Amino acid sequence: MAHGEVDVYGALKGGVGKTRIAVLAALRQALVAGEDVHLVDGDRVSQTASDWRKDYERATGREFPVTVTRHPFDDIDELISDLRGKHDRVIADIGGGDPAVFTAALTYAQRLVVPIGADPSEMRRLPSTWKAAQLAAADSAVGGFNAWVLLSRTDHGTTLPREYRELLTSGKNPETGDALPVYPLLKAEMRKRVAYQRAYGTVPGEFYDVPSVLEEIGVIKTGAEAA
Amino acid sequence: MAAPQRMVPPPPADDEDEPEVTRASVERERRRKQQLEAQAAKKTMTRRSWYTEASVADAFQRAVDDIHHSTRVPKHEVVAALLEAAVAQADRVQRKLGKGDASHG
Repeated sequence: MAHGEVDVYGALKGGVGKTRIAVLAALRQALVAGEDVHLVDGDRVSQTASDWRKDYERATGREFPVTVTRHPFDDIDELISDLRGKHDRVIADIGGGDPAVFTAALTYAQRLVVPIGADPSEMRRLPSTWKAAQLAAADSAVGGFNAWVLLSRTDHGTTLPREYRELLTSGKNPETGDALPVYPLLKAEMRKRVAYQRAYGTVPGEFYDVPSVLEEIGVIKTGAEAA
Repeated sequence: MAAPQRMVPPPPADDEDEPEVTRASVERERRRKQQLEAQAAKKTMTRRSWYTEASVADAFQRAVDDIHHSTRVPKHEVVAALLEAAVAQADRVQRKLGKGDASHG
């Protein structure tokens, strides 16, 4: 059997919306694309992906459409190596300030998406996340991976999303003129939506911004299937 | 569509005099220390199991989940805090249970 694809949604900061995009991407690929998806919850702190499945099954008595394994440990690469031989897609939700788990999870990854909120406190951890990803690429077992930054929980009632899009892609600080790194920022965003908050513990019938993200990172092949 | 940044392993022996090597080694050392600290922390943890009424165990599980969800404090810390609170009530519980016939002694 050919190896399944491995997508990592991760950041060295909690609360940036990793789990939301990871779980919804997994559900979307399982339910709409018909893939056999295995979700690995590698968040040492909050284990929300795992709780999402448990709360759904507890509330409905039905089986969650995606298998979820909680494994926030440094040998997560061994688990992912095993799972990618058995499933169409392995999605890893990695985060919460643990570089060892983060880098190990990228060993077999084809894609890395780093969600980040458009505010200063969240931006502060982006350089260290990016650096950790570059270190992880050195140990890649599959010749490296494609990496993107995703603006998460954006509120377009404010100017912050536009300001931070400029900050991440222009290469300079608009206020000081200082040079800044240019990040590969996805055009798609995970907007701030009440529907996302309500999605926790459910299998939603609508995936909102998720298909746009998946299309842009090549999980959904353009024109091959509609969301 | 945003072009991704392709992150790949470096070619062999191509980074010998690059400043990134120094930064990378510092980062590796930091990670190693963090792993050692995590391993040391794990040594103080334990797993136990108790045989008790299912309804009580379920109530305990619900309390852990609720506190965890509302505070985002790791579950093992929530369990520890609840058990500490229970231990603080041990005398009261002993008096309450002692009102019946003693089964020991």
